[in-house]
Amino acid sequence: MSKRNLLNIKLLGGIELSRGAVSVPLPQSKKTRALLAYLVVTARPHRRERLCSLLWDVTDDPRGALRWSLSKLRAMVDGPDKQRIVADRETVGFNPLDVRVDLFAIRDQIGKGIDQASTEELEKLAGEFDGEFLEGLDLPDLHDFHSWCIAEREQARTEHVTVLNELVARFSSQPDASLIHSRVLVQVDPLNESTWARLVRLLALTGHRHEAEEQAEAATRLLKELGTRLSGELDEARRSLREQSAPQLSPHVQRQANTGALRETGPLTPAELVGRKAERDRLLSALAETEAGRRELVVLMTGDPGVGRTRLLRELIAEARRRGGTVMNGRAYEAERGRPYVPWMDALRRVPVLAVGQTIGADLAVLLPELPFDSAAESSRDRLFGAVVDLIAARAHSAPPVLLVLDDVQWCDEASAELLHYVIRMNRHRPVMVVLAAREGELADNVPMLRVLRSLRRDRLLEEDIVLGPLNKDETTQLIRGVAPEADAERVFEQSEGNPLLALELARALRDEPDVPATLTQLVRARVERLPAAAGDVLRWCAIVGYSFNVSRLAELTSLDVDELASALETLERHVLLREAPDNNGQAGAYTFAHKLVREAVYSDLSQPRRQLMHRRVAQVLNDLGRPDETISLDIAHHAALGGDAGMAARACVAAGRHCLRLFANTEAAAFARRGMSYAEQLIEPEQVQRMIELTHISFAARRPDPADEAARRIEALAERALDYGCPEHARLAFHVLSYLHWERGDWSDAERDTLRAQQVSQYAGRKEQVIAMAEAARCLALLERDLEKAEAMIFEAGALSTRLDIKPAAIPDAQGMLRLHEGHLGEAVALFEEARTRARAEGSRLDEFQALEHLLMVELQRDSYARARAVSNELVSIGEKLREGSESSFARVLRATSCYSMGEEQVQPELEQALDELRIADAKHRLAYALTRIANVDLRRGHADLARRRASEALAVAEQLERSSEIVFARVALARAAAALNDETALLLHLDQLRCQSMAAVSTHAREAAQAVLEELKPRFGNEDVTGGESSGAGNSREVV
Amino acid sequence: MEQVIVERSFDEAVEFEDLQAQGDKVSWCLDQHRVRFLRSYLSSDKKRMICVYEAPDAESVRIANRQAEVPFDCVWTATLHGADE
Repeated sequence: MSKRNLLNIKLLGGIELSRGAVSVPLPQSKKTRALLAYLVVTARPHRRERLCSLLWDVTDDPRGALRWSLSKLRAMVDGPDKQRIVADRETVGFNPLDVRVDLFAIRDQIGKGIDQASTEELEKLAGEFDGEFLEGLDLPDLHDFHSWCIAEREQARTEHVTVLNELVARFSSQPDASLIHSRVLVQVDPLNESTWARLVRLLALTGHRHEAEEQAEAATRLLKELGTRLSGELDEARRSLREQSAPQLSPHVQRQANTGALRETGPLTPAELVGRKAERDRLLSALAETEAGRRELVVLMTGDPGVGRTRLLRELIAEARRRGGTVMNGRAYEAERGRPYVPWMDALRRVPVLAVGQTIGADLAVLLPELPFDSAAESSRDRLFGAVVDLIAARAHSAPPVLLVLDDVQWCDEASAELLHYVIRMNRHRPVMVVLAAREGELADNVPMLRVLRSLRRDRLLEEDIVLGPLNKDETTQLIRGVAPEADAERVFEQSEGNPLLALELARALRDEPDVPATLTQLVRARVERLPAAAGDVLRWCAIVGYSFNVSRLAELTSLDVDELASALETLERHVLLREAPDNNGQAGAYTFAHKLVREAVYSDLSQPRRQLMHRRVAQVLNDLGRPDETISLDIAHHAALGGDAGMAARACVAAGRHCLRLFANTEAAAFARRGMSYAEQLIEPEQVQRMIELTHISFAARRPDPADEAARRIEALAERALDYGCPEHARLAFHVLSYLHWERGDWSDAERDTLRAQQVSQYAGRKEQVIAMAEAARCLALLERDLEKAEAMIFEAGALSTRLDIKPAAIPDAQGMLRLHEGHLGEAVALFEEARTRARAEGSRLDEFQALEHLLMVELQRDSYARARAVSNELVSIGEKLREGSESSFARVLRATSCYSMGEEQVQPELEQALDELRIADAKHRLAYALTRIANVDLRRGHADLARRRASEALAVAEQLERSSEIVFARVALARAAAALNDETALLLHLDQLRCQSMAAVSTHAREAAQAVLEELKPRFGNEDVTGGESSGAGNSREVV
Repeated sequence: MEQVIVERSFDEAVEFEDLQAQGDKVSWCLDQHRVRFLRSYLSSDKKRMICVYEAPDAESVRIANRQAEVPFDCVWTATLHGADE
């Protein structure tokens, strides 16, 4: 394989592709580049669905997007006779034939043993680390990809640290050489105190005492800011530094010190616009046409990063102002993609508050909290959109033309895109000019925005398409003359290829150093490296916070005092890295990066662990503000997620999701719910179930779940889990959501039940001793079937008391249920037992829950609903097993086996017998009697009359010991039937005779009815002999018992 | 009627009178279940205890103890052997 044809894939630093020495330009779509990296690194085929959900989880046609990306990649990586993207209908993979991947080369060497490599090889390896893994390819909204990327980054970083540590050790006798690697090491492994201490010692050793002091101070500050516990090693290095006598500054240090105080410049960009005459003319004439023709005009302006879109827009804005028109300009930010309406909030704030009418203001207040909010007014998405249109219409009337500029729309959120579409469609006949500026390549990733642009083109609303290309040589020369007259214009033009921002940076750098890096990121990086340590630190915090930020927030993050911070900001402003600008709320005291690319460069230069800790700290600081302002939750969600604090991120996603719902930004709300869910999965209970319920609530509110059945099952399971973990408020919320789902689907009775459960759960809390004592007493009577009237009265009183005290113990519905069961009102009994169960769970009482479920099961058995009984008995067994001592576990198993036996499963007999034995040992006679009688009834149905008689006899004996009248009757009924089946006339007569007397004593209607039925059923056996008692002798029932 | 034994253990020493007072609160319940307290044995360190009841079954004693919220480790029905037999 010739080197010429070898495909090189560079993953460290930004992803790059080259064939031999020739660079292959990659598509600007981040997702397409991410797809390539993922296929290459994972080195295995993936199902198409997996790739779609990894990178295109919210678009309309993810498979189409995947196909589009693959077609772009094929053109780049496939050779004439080499197919490297291997795809079929189901899967996609990457064939690494004749491909060199930098990351794999490093891993190969490390795999062979780092100590085996020569120092030269090691230095070569270290050189491969041109930045972090997939630098700049962050897609934090796509959780799975983001997690994968972070994990790979961390591994690559660890490998880099390994290589550097080995190099530092190899050069231990050559401090100058060791220092080179040590400097890199502190950047890659910034949280390691030993690494910093070693750098300080090496600097001192090589005569860089001044820098050693500065680095020691910066390191101490950094480690403290990020909450790292210091071992004292760094202090020790500092102390020994001070103990050394101050050496003469070496010439090299002198140069460092000089360059440290970088030459300051005037403005980064010249005041005059250079070049762009044609584009400027087109824009200005379009504005004039808008005003004169009183019609709307939409312009799309695209170009590469740094090409000067913003600068050109400034010209247009100035012209609109000069004409006395209304300017509304805003921009989207990459880091804020999940945040709804950000560019619109910016743009709307440009209109003076006084110019916003009261009615419009009230509808806009959901977006702009500074406007007076009318809490009584109804709000909706239509009203919000309508208000924006009304505002623009009003301004088009009073201060035309209206210039609406949205910059960086490639990062625009879906809600903003929809509002934009609406505004454009509704203002066709007004003097409104809309300019949308975007990085063309990345626009391909923003499906909602593409959809809007497509629609605007189709409707002929998008009339102008301006593509900004590079400047020509003369223009470039003219441009840099304004800031660096002495710079080598030819070289700058050649290297910058006419990109104005890059040209300016190069001109600036060439002034200070003859040898400068080639890329913009590297240029900015080099500039930042030479800043005083405190200013560099502040700039890094700025990059973490975002594109713009206010000073008070910075002060909370850095450990600098006010004076030091002010001085650092001044330095950064002088070096044209930051500029003062009003913040999002129009307040002063805020700064913004001089250019987005400066922020991107500073941010990508931070190592992953440092970035993570810094984000976490920002999240913490914001969280500690404890502001009721929900918009801050969007920031917290963003920083906590990047900081890896799953708990805080999940909580913030809940708040952010609710905020989005209030703004009718349903897509964003659903996205927050989805993101939050991935963080919630990392939490431990009960926090996990709490967040999951809240997020599910948001998700269902944002988008109707499909399929609804599955969603209902999921939320019901969450509700049950919440009860398990003693979170009644969350269970209530879940039941409420469930009720809504059922209601929506028309399941009225289910909905009613869920609402009832929700109410019950929510009301349950607080003082209860008094009521419980009475309720327990009532239940005691109900269970013992004694004095049921008294029991009813006590329940009534307990119920009244509980209402007054706002409590509802489980014993009340359970006792009521027992009373209804005795009366034979099975439906009511079921509802009451369900209620008792819910309350028991809310209270966390397993025993009460067991009892309620046990009673429910009794009803099912009484109704002969064996399948349902079996399902309930499974639950009963699972709760029974959790109860420590007592008869519950064995009773539950007896009932489960009985249910199975009822359904014809004869094989459960051994299990049944074993469980019965355990129940006998536990000595729970009532449960034993109950179970034996029900089993005997099954025995009879299955033709095992002997077995039935044996079991019913035992039941009778036990029930008599307990003096339980109903159980005695039930046992006698079974015995009578067994005797009839066995043709034992004597026994039958005896049992029927006893039943006639005892049934009168039974308080349970059901028991009396059972007795009555058997008496009537078996009466024909005795001819005219009256065994049923006088009243029923005439009631004929001719059924024969065989 | 059965003789029912209740075994109890406590993390901290208890006073018999305190437990008795707690049990008295549910005497009505004991009556309803026909549970009659016979005697108790409290260990010297007051952390272990055995109570003897007369009741129709062990379950009635469990129910009564649970309602009185007097903790127990296990409850079992016993037959008496030896001197008092």
